[in-house]
Amino acid sequence: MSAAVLDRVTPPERHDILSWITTTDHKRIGVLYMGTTLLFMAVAGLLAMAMRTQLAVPGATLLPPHEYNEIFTLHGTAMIFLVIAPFALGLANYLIPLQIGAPDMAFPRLNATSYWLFLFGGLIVFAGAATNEGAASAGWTSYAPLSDITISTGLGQDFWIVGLAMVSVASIMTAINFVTTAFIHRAPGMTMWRLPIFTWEMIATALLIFMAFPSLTATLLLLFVDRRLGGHVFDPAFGGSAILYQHLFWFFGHPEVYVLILPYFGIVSEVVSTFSGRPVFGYTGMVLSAFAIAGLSMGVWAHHMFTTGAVNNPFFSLVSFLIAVPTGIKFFNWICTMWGGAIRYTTPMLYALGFLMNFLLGGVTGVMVASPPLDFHAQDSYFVVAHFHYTIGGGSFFALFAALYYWWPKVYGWRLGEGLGKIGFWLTFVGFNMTFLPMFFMGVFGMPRRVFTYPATGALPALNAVATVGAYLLLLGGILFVVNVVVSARRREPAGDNPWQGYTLEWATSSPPPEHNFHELPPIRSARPLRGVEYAKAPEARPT
Amino acid sequence: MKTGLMLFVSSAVFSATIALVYWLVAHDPAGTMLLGFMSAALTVVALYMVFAERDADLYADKKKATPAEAAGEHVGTYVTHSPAPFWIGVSLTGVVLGLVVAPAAAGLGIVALFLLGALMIVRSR
Repeated sequence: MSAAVLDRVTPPERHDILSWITTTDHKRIGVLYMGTTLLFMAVAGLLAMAMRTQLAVPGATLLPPHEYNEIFTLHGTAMIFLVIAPFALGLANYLIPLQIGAPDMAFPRLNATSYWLFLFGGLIVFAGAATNEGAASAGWTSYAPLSDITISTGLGQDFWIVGLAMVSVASIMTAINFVTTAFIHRAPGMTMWRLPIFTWEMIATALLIFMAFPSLTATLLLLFVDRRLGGHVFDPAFGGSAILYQHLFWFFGHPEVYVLILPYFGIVSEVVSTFSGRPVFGYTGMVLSAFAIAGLSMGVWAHHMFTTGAVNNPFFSLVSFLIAVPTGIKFFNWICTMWGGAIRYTTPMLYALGFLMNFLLGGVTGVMVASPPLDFHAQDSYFVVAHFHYTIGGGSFFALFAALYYWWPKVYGWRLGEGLGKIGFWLTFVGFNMTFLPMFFMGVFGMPRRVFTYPATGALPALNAVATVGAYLLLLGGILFVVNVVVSARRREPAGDNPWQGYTLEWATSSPPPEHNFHELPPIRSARPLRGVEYAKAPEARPT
Repeated sequence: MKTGLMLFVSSAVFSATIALVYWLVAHDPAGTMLLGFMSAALTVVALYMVFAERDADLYADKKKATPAEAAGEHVGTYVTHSPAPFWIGVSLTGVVLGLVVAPAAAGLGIVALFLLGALMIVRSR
């Protein structure tokens, strides 16, 4: 890459609809990805509200059992495949070239193709609801034989399969793009060990996608063969194996959990560092722990199968426990980054702190269910529902909002209101904990997951009522975010190029960045190039 | 590039080790095969990178390189718009929906992909 490339004369940017449909600019594709995931999130969130309303009191008749099954299937599928993971891919699309000083992704057309496959795949999954027998209803895991043609007879299940296959292929293509871009298209001086933590986390995520998603694509293909082409791969009556489905699915499914969380670790690292006024503590440890988590996560898939009696429980339990070590390194590094720093409690920082508190509870309860004796009690109960919502909801969801508030000024040139942002954070934080903390107790009291009602005995009615009130607070937090966007868009207060005093390369260009990203690149001599620029202007500021 | 290469080599070695340990501990063919294939896939990428790394001379890997040093005669260009990705997305949607609801739709999707291919060949000439 040359300076001439960076300074090349480009025609004025077009902003009509056709220009968005045909765009191959990584920033626009990133915005398309993130916008689409937020719309999917709104739909999946409303489905969750329907479930919580049904469960507010025992014996409610708002949702019949089959519709309830469809709704929790669509909610889980959308949140996992169409919201949390692709939002991170969208953000990385926007940020990776900016953070490494590149003009675009390595394969711009492939990048755009990934987005369209993701969008159409997601729409196909939802379109299943319009078929005669409704949407898929076998849960987001769609275990065989529950998802077999003899039990799930409707077309909705087939829509689910082919839609997710498209999303899976799109994810693999995106991962190839990320790794190639980060390896080959770095700016002069941006060595691998100077990459921002977010970019490193996305490389680890891409590696996980390489390793795990082919298994998902193959599983979906085999399920489709069983359903439509007379196969019996997962049918024990004809020599197939239902346990094989679980092996294949969870070989993808557990690494997917880390695809859902590693990017958000990167976001929290960037936010905590900026608003503590300090570099990330233990840079090398942060990078290596990401790859340790990625590697170990490939060897824990069958801890979801402890109760089948068909897997080696001690092996999977031990490897699952080991993941707590690199995760703990990250946690202590975030605390050490803040320790002694000049902390600014902005909205993104509040969401990052919310992430730390929620994810800690999700992580600790993860260690609990990684122990087979405890897991036998917690399996398929609301305890597990609470655990994974604390990791994915309380963790990734909070970091997602931290990212929105943090990088919004870079994307649009104006920032979101801090006052409404902070009120929204507290509503979300209180609402989230009111919703999901009671679920641990529901699980302990024996309430199974995926049920549309429960007995009116003991503490279950009260706990469910509290959870439903919490869910409505969460909804209010979401509405407040939309209000904040509308109000801030009307004000459009210019944010400047570097409103948060960040030190990574994306803050060196204008807000929003030009089509080719940088008019001029600063010299890159560390993982925080903008710090070097400050020292060059004021040498006396450099620590001795 | 060396760091990237090491990343894939170490991942391939790690997954091969886990596959071996898993087989010795669990004697489970399904899991061992999955881990084995994963290791093989990573090895293929690592091998490719061995050869790619020999030819690579990236200014990004030089700690004191500047954009001016990296500048050359050739001015690169980036495509900013292309109808192909959207067209591929629509065509493949036709193919997969056709597999489920109507083979005719799958046929239309395949025809659309061929048309795109032909158009791109014509334009490239």
